[in-house]
Amino acid sequence: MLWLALHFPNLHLNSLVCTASAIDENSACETSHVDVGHVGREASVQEPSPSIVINAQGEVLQLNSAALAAGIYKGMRLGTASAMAEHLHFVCLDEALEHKKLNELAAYCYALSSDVVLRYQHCCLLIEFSGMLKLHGDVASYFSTVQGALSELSLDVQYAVAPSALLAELLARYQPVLLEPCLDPDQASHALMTLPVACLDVSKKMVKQLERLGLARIADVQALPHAELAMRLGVECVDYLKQLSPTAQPILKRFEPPEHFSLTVNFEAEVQTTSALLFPVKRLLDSLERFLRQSSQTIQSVECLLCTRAQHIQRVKVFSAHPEISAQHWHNLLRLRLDNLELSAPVLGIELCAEQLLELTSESTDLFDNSVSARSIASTLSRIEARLGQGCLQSPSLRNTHVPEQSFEYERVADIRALNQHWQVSEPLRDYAKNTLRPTLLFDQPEALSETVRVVHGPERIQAAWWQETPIERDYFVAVNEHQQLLWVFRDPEQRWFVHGLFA
Amino acid sequence: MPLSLQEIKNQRLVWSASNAAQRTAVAPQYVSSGFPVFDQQVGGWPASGLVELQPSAMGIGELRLILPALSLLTENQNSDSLKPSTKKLQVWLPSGVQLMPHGLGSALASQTLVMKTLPHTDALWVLDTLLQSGVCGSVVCWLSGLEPAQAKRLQLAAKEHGTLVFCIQSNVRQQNSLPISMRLRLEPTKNGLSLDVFKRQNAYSVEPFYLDFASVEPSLYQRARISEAHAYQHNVLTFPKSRHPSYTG
Repeated sequence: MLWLALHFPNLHLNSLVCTASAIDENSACETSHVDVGHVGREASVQEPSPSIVINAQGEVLQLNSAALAAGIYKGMRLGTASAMAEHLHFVCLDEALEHKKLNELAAYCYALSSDVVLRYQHCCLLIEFSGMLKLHGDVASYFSTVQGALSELSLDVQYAVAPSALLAELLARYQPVLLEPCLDPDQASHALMTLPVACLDVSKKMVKQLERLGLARIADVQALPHAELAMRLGVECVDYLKQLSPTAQPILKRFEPPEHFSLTVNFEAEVQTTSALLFPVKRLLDSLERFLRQSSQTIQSVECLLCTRAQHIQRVKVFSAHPEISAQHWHNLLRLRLDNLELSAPVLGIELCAEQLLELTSESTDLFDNSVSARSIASTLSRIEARLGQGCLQSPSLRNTHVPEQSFEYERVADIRALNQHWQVSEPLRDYAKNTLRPTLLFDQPEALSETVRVVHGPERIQAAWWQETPIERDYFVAVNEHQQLLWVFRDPEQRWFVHGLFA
Repeated sequence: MPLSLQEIKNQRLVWSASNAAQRTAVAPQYVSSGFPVFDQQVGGWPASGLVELQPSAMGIGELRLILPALSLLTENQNSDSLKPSTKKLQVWLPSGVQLMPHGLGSALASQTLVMKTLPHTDALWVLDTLLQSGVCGSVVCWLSGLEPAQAKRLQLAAKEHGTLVFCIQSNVRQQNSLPISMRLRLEPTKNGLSLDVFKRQNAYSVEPFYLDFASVEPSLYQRARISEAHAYQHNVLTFPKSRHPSYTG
């Protein structure tokens, strides 16, 4: 067994700062017209402000490099810390957020190995990768793959490789105490020996007890016979020590990838404009695409929850006319939606959800075929629908009535495949069009006839719906006015004349 | 540094069969309008690009002029395309009025899409999106004005994907030149239309000519006999009193 432990010491802080810097970059790119080099320089000049995460007791738990440079350390009181650094930004630790983040990271690491264990209490991911060595050759090359994958996330991470899970976890958590990170499984137990007893995951009282016994390092504890230790310190302590041995195989609950996709970003500051949301949304969609590719699934709709101030949630749902996994496609659709969206309140976070997952089926394309593909038709139509709202695309269908304005209707085109089934009545319609005289353009409402016209054809009496509240009794004529427009006029029983359409 | 496929394509290092087929295929430059006189005079409608129709008023027969060509285009597609889902669309962008399917008759097909009436900028955006994506075989739109730059952009996109766009503008305010395939003025006459094709790309100008609709729509145009005798007055029957109680009240 080979375990790689990843410990994220600043998980809460990282998840906040990385989105804020993304927004900064985005706004810098949008506002400045100078070349990219200049923007890059500006970003590097700009120092991150010192940020810390505190717990309920007001003790510093997580801090960034700027805060560290200001002399703040873990466990410091908030009052002291704010005295040491000007413009100190602090947030209270949100454990639910950290758990969510850790779950997302686990889903991300699931691509690296299928054996992932979540350790919420220590903010750790444990990855069993002995099965992956066949692919990667040796530990070092596997580790560099993992490191490459994690570097995209811009997270602070501590790591260790060890033959047993809890050993790796302990070594990862106390990586700064070790002389160098432990990447050789054979060296793991040796590295453990050098750690002080305070690193052990036991109660503070127990640590004091050990120190009073004159045991400074874990090596000193391990050297003692287990039976004696159990007598003095209790069985639990010895069991724990046993689990740290390289041969131990503790029972750990494996991570199972979620069935639905849901990912959140939280902003450090409130976001007021929809355009500033686009960049973080892009990152979310990228992870969505990765998730879909890994599970070989696809989606037809995406829901974007904008968590605004005061815990209100604004929902933005985007549909595509065809199943699609590409992040670019969804980004285009969302951008069209967000352009027209009014934010009800400043946004603090975005959650992206995809719940109706479909099986991915690939469409085969012809190398020599130059006709359009159904996919490109559908994607164009979904772009139009995303911008103009549902119902703007219609296809005609006929109804079984003689009343002209009710004899046809336009139905919303929901799916391009349904479109082709629609015009089944085409043949009878052609006959009908040949035999009766119907205009090509029909006014929404008949307009009163206000000019002198010459009748050229008619009358055609339409008498229908006499069994209803509004019976129709009209004599239709074709008439020409002085502009030579061919009008479709009718006369009602009260001898009033109306124009109803045009023979264009 | 490995090149992406798009970069390689941009550098023209890849020979793509579908592109070559498009370029070398000898597409007919004109499509038949369905009117022999029209085909004889100007060769027919251009196979792709924008055609601007300027009728002197709405409803003088501007659609009657293009309907045969539209039904021909859809029929051509129906015959040679095997998969129904890959047919190119026929899109109508009406403005202010409804299209009555009975009147359009044979021009409509299964791949017909009709947009809701849209504001001018949205209509232009839709038209641009449709033409750039190349999913349309033919488009009929009512626009209230086109800038030369917009016309150029639409024309290039339509040419590239082989889309025929009929653009109907009834009240033309200013007469600037537009870089599009064909522009013509329509004037109504007794038996049809008088056409003035004042702009044709890659061809000589032609004198205005007349198009007779009497044979196409006899009921609308063979009216001399009736109107001379004022026979329509005898043709009209007096409306009988309605027997429906609620209506007379």
